[in-house]
Amino acid sequence: MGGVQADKKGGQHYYKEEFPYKGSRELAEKVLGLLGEKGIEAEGVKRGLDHGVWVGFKCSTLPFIYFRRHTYIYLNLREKSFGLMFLTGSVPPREFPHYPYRPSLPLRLGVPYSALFPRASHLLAPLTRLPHNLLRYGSPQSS
Amino acid sequence: MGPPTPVYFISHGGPNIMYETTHPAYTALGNIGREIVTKVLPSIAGGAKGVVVFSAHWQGGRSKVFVNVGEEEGLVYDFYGFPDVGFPTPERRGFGWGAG
Repeated sequence: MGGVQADKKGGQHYYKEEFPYKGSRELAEKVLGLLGEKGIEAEGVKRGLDHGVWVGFKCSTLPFIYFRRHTYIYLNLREKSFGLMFLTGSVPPREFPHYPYRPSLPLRLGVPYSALFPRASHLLAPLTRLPHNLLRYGSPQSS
Repeated sequence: MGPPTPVYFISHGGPNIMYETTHPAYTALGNIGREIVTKVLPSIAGGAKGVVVFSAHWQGGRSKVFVNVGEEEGLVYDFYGFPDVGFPTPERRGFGWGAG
């Protein structure tokens, strides 16, 4: 309901934004397997790319396109960067009692993920911040 | 063996940052993008296959990590409550790029 009311106030164009990407089951299975090996409970689910990811990536590429002022570069960029597969993972819930005062899950995740990507074959780009703004979207339990 | 895969910590913005092109954060994001496109991607032997992202807008379980296994899941428009303060129109933004 909050979203619907907000639409009437403004920001409708936000909902028309697009960001082409493709997920990767193969990469997801690889990550899930490695997490399991390291004793970190993980579950594969289906979920779209949230704005915590796509807004930042969109901004990080647009200025470059603008800088070149050439449509071809934009198309070429889509091949090179937006053509990459995106694999997203969750962060711990905000109410996690020890978070962030003990080594948190994202930090501990760095160990298996560094093993997963010891050398350059993938980019690892955690867009981290404390979970917030999750009234309507977030954990499967709250959706 | 190439150099270690770079890791970026990126503080994402609200969707409004997409239109605030004079904001320092917007410039910073652009610099990151330029760096990735011009330096990181070319340095990856065989080309990069994907991007792994942990999102601050996806809350997992107490001790469980969720991983998206879908390949065509689209976008989640997980924002709301923005006041109508006259954001720039696509035309005024000056990009040869539509709003959708």
